[in-house]
Parts: sequence; structure tokens; C-alpha cells
Amino acid sequence: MIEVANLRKEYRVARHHRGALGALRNLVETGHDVVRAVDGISFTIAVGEFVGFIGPNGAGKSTTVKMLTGVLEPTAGTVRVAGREPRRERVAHVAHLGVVFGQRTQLWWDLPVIESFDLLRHIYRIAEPAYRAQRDRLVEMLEIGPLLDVPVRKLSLGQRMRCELAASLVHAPDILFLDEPTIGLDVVAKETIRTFLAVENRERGTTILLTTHDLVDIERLCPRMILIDHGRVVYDGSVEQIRRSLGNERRLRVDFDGPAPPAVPANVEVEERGPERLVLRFRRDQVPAPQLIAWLAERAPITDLSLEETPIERIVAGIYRDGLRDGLRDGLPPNS
Amino acid sequence: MSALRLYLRLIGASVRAQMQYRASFFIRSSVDFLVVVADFLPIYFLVRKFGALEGWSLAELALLYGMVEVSWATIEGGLRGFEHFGTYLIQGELDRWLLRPRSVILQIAAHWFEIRKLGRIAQGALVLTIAAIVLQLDARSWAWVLTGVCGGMLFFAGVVMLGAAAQFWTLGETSELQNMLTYGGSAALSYPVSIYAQWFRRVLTYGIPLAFVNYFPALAALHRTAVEGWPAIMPWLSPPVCAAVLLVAHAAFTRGLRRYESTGS
Repeated sequence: MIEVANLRKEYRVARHHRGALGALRNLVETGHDVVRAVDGISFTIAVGEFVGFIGPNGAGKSTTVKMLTGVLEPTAGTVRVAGREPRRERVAHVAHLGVVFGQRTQLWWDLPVIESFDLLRHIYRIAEPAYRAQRDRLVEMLEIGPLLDVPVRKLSLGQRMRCELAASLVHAPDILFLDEPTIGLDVVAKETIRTFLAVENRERGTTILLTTHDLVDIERLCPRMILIDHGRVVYDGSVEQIRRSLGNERRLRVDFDGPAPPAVPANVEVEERGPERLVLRFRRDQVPAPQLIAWLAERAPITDLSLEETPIERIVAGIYRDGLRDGLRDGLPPNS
Repeated sequence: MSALRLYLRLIGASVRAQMQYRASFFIRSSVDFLVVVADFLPIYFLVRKFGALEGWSLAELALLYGMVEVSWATIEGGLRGFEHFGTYLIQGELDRWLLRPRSVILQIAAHWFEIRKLGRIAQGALVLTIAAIVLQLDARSWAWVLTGVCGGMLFFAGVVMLGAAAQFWTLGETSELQNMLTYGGSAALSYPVSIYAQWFRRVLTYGIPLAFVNYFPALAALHRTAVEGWPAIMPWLSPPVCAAVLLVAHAAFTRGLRRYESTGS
């Protein structure tokens, strides 16, 4: 469905000089720096996939998405979406595309929500019966019936985002690009949107590319994630695999009936120590959890315990910070 | 046809959106009404004092004024999106338009209809009609007047589109230049080109061809082409010149759009 090969995008950025003299020099000098925002990205996404697209700010995510949507022309490399070249065949391409920018609205700000849907029907030239069926389905699933007659500017962020999603799907697109659809939302609103997206992907087979900084979105929704940094793909594979390879670290919290044992086994680190509590950190491949628990239970009666995996956020933060070097050491192929 | 329908639908949405702020709408409309009165007043007093202006009677001047007023106000109201284009560009609104399967130019044009300009269009039409009645224009002269009005719409549409196109390179720095051409141009055209100095007349004819908007068609309507010393062909050149301005603007905008798609800024 989406094929990207050796995609590159370079920007020419005017060179700026600082200070009052610099401002004068900016007027006369036309120096340019070439910034490579996307530096040879390749991936393929099949029909019906739900892919998380993540990376730190400035990694090249939105530039890549813009090239996929046809808004930007690649400097080099190829993009094909459903067999089309997005830039060349813009109108045909975007007719099958739904896009949500979390930070920007596509609804008519001063008009009731329903009017935006009606206008989109005419923009996308959707026949009345097909439109009504799709609209009613979206209204029901996203529970926006009571919002339809409210002007968009009066909606809360969560309400607006549900309406944005509906608006992006009015024309029943095959592909959906989402850019931070859950940003700034409360837990309940996030959950509603995640549930909706999961159903949309599963039942209608919509191919979804989700850009987000909220890794819970990725964990809950995307079997596959593509991680980019400095304009390159640094990881492309399942969330499970990256957790297994990089999420080696575990955390064990134990409450004892009485004083906690003064010492711990080798390779186990004490993160926090209370009179009757220990919080321990260890690597899964070095210390099997059952053995550690048995060892502790021999020394003091345990009243309660919990075992935590490394949150995916920590893993990804580690990759952003150190690159994939640690991952390579753990036997993770660089581009699998 | 479907493009025109979509234009009207989007314009309708823009009007309904503005109606949400009714008080502001009425205040702005009455301000515009006063501006129109204030615009024509100096011409009126000028002619009252001197009887005529370079051989142009008050009714003839009113005709000239009404023609340019109707065409400029129609474009200013109906294609407002082009005038605000710099802002839309910076806010990323253009991306949204590119993501919809319709012409970008159509979506910009239809983005905003300035309803308060309706008052101005009506005022211009009123002045024009009264002048035409006083001058007892025949059908042929009326046809020239309408040709001038339509040509003016093409011309001003070209100017606002050209102004929008320039935004791709300058990002909001050229709006003053555009204002000079539109507001300044329509003000200059409220007087017959013949009252201006030779060099300025040349600029208005061959440089920025504003004279083709209302002056030459009005000459034909008033049978004054020869009187003012112009070749008889000049009024006939009016429609093609105005259309050419729009075509050039369209080409420039298309180029700007291509540039945007390759730079993203």
C-alpha cells in the first residue's frame, strides 16, 4: 500500500548572522545551508497495517508524512501510495486519504460541526446515501451525536478531536495519517480515541500511520513501529521485539513483614530502601525473577510484591539518547 | 460547473460564519458605507467648483468611478482569501487545501467572502446606474460599460492572485505593494487617465495596465476615444489585456505552489 525507497528531503536554509551587524549582513548575503531533514528512508506498509511512527522532535517525521501525503516533493527517492505518486497525482491520491493534525483543525471554526461534514461531502463529491451511512456510523462510534449542532469553537479539545477524526473519515479513505491525535487529551478521551482507531483498523481494514509522542498509543494500537532519528530509520519492527531486546530491565517492589533483608544478590541493584520495603532493579537475562523472589522470601516473610517491565517510554528515551548501540549489543538487528 | 457550485457552498459557509458575530458585521458594514461616501465626495466637490474636469462632466466621472468600484469591490469581497493568503501560508492552512481533492485556487478563492463589501458593490452599482441614466446611454454604450466592469474583475482578480503568488517568496512582506495596486489603483482610476501627467498616463497604459480596466471602455461608451486622442482600437484591447493579467497571475501562482511543494516553507 505504501512503498518508500531511499527517500530524501533537503531544505535550503538561509544562513543567519547574529546581532545588529549580522542583520545587515543577512540583507546582502544570500548564503544557504543545506539541511537534510530526511536522509534515505525506506519502508513498506501493507494494506490494513497499523504502524506507529515515532522519533524525537526534528527527526524528520512530519517531513516524511508530508511527502507521503503529497504536500512536499522529495529531493530524491520514491514514494508510492496505492500505486500512485502522491505529488504527481495529488487529486486522485488525496481522495483516498484521511489526515488528522492534532494541533490544527480541519473543521469550520465558527460553524456547527454538522456543517463541516456537509461541506466535506461536497468537497469529496460523495453521493448522499453513502455519505449519510458513513456519517451516521462515525457519529455513533465516536458518540458525537449531541455535538453536531454545536459550533466547533465551543467544543472541548477531546470533543473536537473526536469530530476531527470523523471529519477525516467522512469520505471513507483507505489510508489514515494521524499526527498526534491524542495530544493534550485526558485519559478517558485518549481511551475513546484509541478504541475507535483499533476498531476502524480491524473492521474496515483502514491502513493507519500514527505519529505520536505518547508511546501508550503505540503500545495499545500498533503491532509495528518505525522509529526514526536524524532523518534515518533506526528501528522498524514489532513493539514486542524491541521490548524483549532492549527492555531488559525489570523492577521488583517487595513489602516484608518485618525488617527488609540488609543485602541483595549479585547483579541486583537497590533503587529504594524502606524499613520494610525494597525496590530492586535487575536485568532479565542475568537474574530470573522467580529465583530472586525465592531468595528474598527465605530471608524475610513477603506480604506483597509487584514486578514491572521497563516502560516502553524508557526504552525509546534510551534510543533517542544513545542511539541503538545498546540494542545492537543485545543482539537486535539494526534494521529488522 | 461543479467548481462554481462548490465555490458558492464554501462562500455560503463563510457568510454564515461571519453572521455569528452580528454586531461586528453591522458596525463594519456601516463603516464601509461611510468610506464609499467619503470616496466620491472629493470628486463631487471638485467638479462643482470647476464645472467639469478636463472636459468630463460629473455624470461621466461618476460612470468611471462606478465601473471601477463595482469591479474592485466584487473581487475584494468575493476573492478575499487571496488577500489573506500570506497569513494562511504561515499558519499552514495551505497544507489543508493541498490535502483535499479540489483545486487549491478554488479553495483559496472560496475561503472568505467579505459580506460587508456587498454594501460597496451596491453603492458602486447605484452610482453607475444613475450616471448611465443621466447620460442616456444606449445599448451599445451599456455593453461597453459591462465589458469594462467584467474586464476590471479579471484584472483585479489577477492582481490579488499575483499578490498571493508573491507570498510564496516573501511570506507576507509584499502586501503593501499589492495594496498600492488595488486600493491605489482603484483610487487613481476614479479620475480619467487624461488628467494625469504624460509619464503617469504611460505607466497606467503600458506599465500597470490599469487604464484598460475602466478608462478605455468608458471612452468607447461615451464616444470620447478620438476626443481624448487615442486610437480606436484601445477599448477593444481592454478585455484581452485584463484576461492576460489574470493568466500571468495564474501562471505565477502555479509556480509559487510548485516552489512551496519543493521547499515546504
